[in-house]
This record gives sequence, structure tokens and C-alpha cells, in this order.
Amino acid sequence: MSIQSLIHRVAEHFNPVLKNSKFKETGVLTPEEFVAAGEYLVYKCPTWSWESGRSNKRREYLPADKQFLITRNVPCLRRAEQMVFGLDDEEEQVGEDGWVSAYAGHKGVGGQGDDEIEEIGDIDNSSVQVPTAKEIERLTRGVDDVEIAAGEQDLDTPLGQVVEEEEEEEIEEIPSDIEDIPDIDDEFDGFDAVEDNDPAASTANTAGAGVATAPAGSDEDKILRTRTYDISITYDKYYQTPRVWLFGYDEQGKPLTARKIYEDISEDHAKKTVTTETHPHLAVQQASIHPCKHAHVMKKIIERAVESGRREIRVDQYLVIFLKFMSSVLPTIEYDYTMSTDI
Amino acid sequence: MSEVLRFEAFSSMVEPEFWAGLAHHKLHSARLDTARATVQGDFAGGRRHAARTSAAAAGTQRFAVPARLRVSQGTWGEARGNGAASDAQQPGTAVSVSGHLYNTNTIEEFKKHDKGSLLRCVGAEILDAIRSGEATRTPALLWPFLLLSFADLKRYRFYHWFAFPAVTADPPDLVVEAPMPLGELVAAGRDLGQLLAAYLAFSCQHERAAGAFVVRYCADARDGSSWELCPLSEWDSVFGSGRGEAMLGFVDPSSHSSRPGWPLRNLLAWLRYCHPEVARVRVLCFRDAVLALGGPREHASLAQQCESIVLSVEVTAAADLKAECQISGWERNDKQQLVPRMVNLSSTMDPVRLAESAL
Repeated sequence: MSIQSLIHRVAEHFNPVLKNSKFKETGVLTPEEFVAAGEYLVYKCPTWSWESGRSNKRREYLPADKQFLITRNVPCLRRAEQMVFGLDDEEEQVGEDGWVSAYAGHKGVGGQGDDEIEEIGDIDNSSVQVPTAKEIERLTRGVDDVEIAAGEQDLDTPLGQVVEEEEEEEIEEIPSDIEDIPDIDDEFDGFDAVEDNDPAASTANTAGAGVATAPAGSDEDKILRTRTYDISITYDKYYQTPRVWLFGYDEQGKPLTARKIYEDISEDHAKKTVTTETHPHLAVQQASIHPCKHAHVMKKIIERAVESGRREIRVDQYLVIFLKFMSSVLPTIEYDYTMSTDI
Repeated sequence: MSEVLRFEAFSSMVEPEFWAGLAHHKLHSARLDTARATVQGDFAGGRRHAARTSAAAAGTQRFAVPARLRVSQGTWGEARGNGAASDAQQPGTAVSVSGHLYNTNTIEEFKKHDKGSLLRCVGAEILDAIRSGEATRTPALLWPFLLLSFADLKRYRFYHWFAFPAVTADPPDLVVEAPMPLGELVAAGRDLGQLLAAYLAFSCQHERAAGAFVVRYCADARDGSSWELCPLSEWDSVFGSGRGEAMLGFVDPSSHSSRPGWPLRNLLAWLRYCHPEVARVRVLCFRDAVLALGGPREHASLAQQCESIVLSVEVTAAADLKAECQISGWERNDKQQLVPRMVNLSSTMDPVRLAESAL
């Protein structure tokens, strides 16, 4: 555990629970507002659900069964790097069904087009406008002067792993990135012929994994294997904002290393605001978007929406908008794909 | 058309919390005991993944993704006492299934384990559940999974292999019509909305019977409720009445446009045994379970998002369910080889880190 996260944890312990709503003035949330915003998110996008986590890590200012939000098995088709280069014509497209591109406005697209506002659709039949991902990114860029020690971390160990102690000599240590099982041969005992003689089992119709090979329409028959993520949102008592945690799996369901997860985070944020820490409600290490600037950005988004929109943003819509903000940090992870059509 | 009915196999998905629990279980309760233990898993309705295909294409395209069976961390909750809450589940509509864990003590044991007999053993239990009528009341008994594992606690590596036992039909069942999206069978979006509501009501009312059901659809129902969902035990009353369109339904984890998910295999085995008179049946592969949880939606968008399909299946003539029934189902890798897998991760069982997280 880094010094920073230790300090953070101690500080979080002594920081009083926020009682009065300050969300419009400062962009922060009380735990009650977090729960209300979570309820709205779960209602709008049922792929998100509440979870209670480990009971020994329960925070008493949140309901026992509503400690954090999680959505699992979220596909991630391409790497963030690919979004940056050579995809200029992807700029700010709204799909046929009002589907807003999560890739919009990334670095390399250029800083032009200042005040484009993109609709995220109707919230409760009243149109609320929020800034585009591009604007959000501009907002964030001005405020990224905080030092977070990500540089010293070992990026190649799978998350959840501890670097082994030195006296435990690893003679035939294998790089953790290795694809297959090294010390199991291909011979196995005890199979019946049944396995190879099963006409009803699906056969090798799998598409090449994720990267750059988005199959053409004729391949509809195939199963697309992509990286997937479990994304959770916890309430950070110190910063009084939601905080996003990521746990990634490769195309075969193996945990991703931190370095590989960084490939799916926009370059601007990967080095600065992403850290690997122990999940507050689980016993596993996960990558997390550091929340130090969340309140600031959310305040700006809310202000912008109030200026340009016809109506104010309600506090229970906070997380929906927060996720739009997150889509500028995690451009390729399409966690809101149920929501996109019908907010 | 008449083709062999193919099924989309499960893809196992294990959360790191599960392995942490397994290590704890091995160290503190099972120790050298390799007897079988029960673990919990679940699967939910399959959803295709919407993705933009190319920079030029303005629209989105939807792709089938693997059908997941998730092994939940809740498994170890009670054994550990202070551990993860056992209520951890996917959104309310997920179907819970239980699995058999064989955790070996050495890698050699893991390699040498008689994989065929393990499958036959679990397969025999599935057949027993069908014969005794237990599976009619609790369809989840049709879908146990098998997990053979070896936990290398020194190096924090978990060798494992899943099997999803399936009773093979010989000769295989046939699909006699092109699979039809549910949106085509029921023209009106209103009816889709009602199906979602009816499914939610059904799964709340019949918790044990969740996962598989018989369903009748009357397009012109006067009282407005066009769908009727019942437990499998009410097969005769639904199929016997002659009213409307009667179908066999199940929660389908597959998102493939024509292949149903693995659970249908054993459900058809159940059908062959319990209703041998049925030669042809329509199957509703219900994939919109998660969609059902959302609030009220526009009918148009429902019709667009609906993923369920309807299959017409010609069921193999009912052979006797013998214990020698062939069972298959070891999970293959992405190259379709039968090999085990290894996961390398450790932090959850490291006392130092646990102490830190308890701060």
C-alpha cells in the first residue's frame, strides 16, 4: 500500500460524514445522495446493481445492502490508443438511435470545435444538456496538477497479486503475461470419446479477439471475444464523490495486468489519475480513477448544464452524468450501453 | 430446413474473490480433504454487445458475446462467517446454479483425475433429478457445473477446469425452422413489455422454479394479459388447452442469433423423459431478463432491444433415460482444445494485505 493511500484512509476515517447537500455549490455528494443517485442509475440501467461487499469492510453511513454499485462483464472492444490515432472521422457522432459515441472527442482529434454540445437525450422528458466528453476533458486538463504516485508501481503483475518475498526463490519463474499454462502437458487422462463426438456442441466459431478486427457484417454468426471489465462505483468519504474501480479480464477470462488495463484508459489519465489500490469493499486490488478532481469537474458540468440547459440537474441524476464524465477517461469501455438508448 | 440443433457453450467467469475464498477454505476448513464441496454460480440472459464497426459507419452493430457462467464470491460467505455476503448476485433475474468443487492437493492429482467419471457421476445425478421429478420443481438442478481445481497456495496460482455436464441426445435434436426473433412473433411492442412484466412476476412468485417455464401467448387476449408463464409442472394445462401459442421457455445465456444456450440441452433431456409424447416444440429462448428490470420503456425501443428468439425444435424420439447416457461438457479454450486453465493472483490470501485492508 502506498503512503498516499494510507494517508487517504486515515484521513477518510476522521473526515466527518457530509450531512448537508452541497452538490450544486461544490459538486460533492452526501452518502444519502449517493444512494439516491445509485437508485436512479440502477433503475435506468439495470445492468448496474447494488452490492454489499465484505461485511468486515462495511461503511456504516451507507445501507448494509447498498455499499457500492457494480456492473459486470462489460465488453471493451478496442484499446484506447487506437482511439487516439487515425480515427479522426469519429468525431462527435450521434448514432441513428440517438446513441452517443463514447469515443467522441479524444486527443488527436484536435482541440477545435469548442462549444459543441451534445445531447444525452431526455432525462424524465425534459431535455438536459451536458458538456461533451471533449469539453469534460478540457475541464479536467486544467486541473491535473496533483501528484499521484503511479510511477513506482509494478505494472506487470496481475492485479490482486503481491510481489513475492525474496527468500521464496523462484527458479523457473515465468513471466506473468504468459498465455498458456506452462507446466501442464497436453495429455489428459480419463476422457471419454464423448467430448469429441458431440455434434450439438457449438464449434470453433469465434472471432478474433478485440483488437482492430471488428468483424464485418457477414460474420454475425461469430461470437466476439473481447476484454471485459467489472466496474464498480464506491462512495469516497474523503473526497465526498463517487469513485470508479476497474477489474479487467482478457479475452479468455484471465485477470489483466495493470499495464494492460492502462491500455484501456485514455492516455491523459492513465499516467496521472489511475492508481492501483485495495478495493474498499472487496479483498482484491483494483485499478481506480483517483477522485481528487471529481467534485471540481462535476461542479463545472453541472454549472454548464444549468447555463445552457433548460432545467437544472437533479441530484439523483448525478451518477448518470458522472458516468458520461467517466467515458472521457475510459473511452473504449461501453458500460452504459443499456442506458444510451433511453435515458 | 432441418438442421442439427447446436448449443452455445458456457464460458466460465471467475471473480478473484472466489479464488481468495477457495484458498481460505483450503487452509482453514478443507485442508487435505479432497471430497467434493458445493459452490455457487449464476447466469443471466444473454445480451449482444453494441459496437460501432468502423469509423465510417454511423450506426452500431451488435455482436454475440460469450455466454457467461459466473462463479460467485458469495459461495464462501457462510463458511467464512465474517466473509463476503452471500447475497452477492447478478441483477435479480440471474439464475442461481450450484456446482461441485473437487479441489486436489497436488498438480499430479489434478492432471490424473478421471475426468470422464467425474462427468458421468454428475450426469447420473442430473438424470436422477429428472426421473424423480425434482428437476420439474427446481429446474436449476438440471444445470450443475463441475470445477476441478488445484490451488498452488505457495505461488498463488489456481489451476482449474470447468465442466458443464450436458446429456447428449442421440441422434441429436433438430431445429426445423429458421430461428425467429421474438420481435417478429409478437408484432406489437406492447406485448413485449407485457412479457417482461410477466417474467418478473413469475420469477418472484416461483423462486425455486426460476430459469425454465412453460409459456402461453395469446395475441388477442381480451383482458390485456397476453402472456401466461407457469412452472414446468403445469406443462399439461398450458399445452393441453389448445389456446394460443404454447412454448417451452428458459433463461438463455447465449446471445448468438441462432444458437440457444447450454441450459437447453438438459432441459430437452427433461422434456424427452417427462413428456415423451412431444415430438416438436417451440422454445422461447428468453434473453431479456435484465431488460425486464428497467422501468417502463417505450414500446418502439423495446422492440429494438429485444434479444429473445423462438426456435422450433424437433425432439429426438424418447429413448429411455439410462444411466449410460452420454454426458459431455468439459470447457474448451479459445482454440477449442480441451485443456485446463491457470489464473495467477494472490493478494486476497496474503495476511499482510488483509491486515492492511482491514484498517
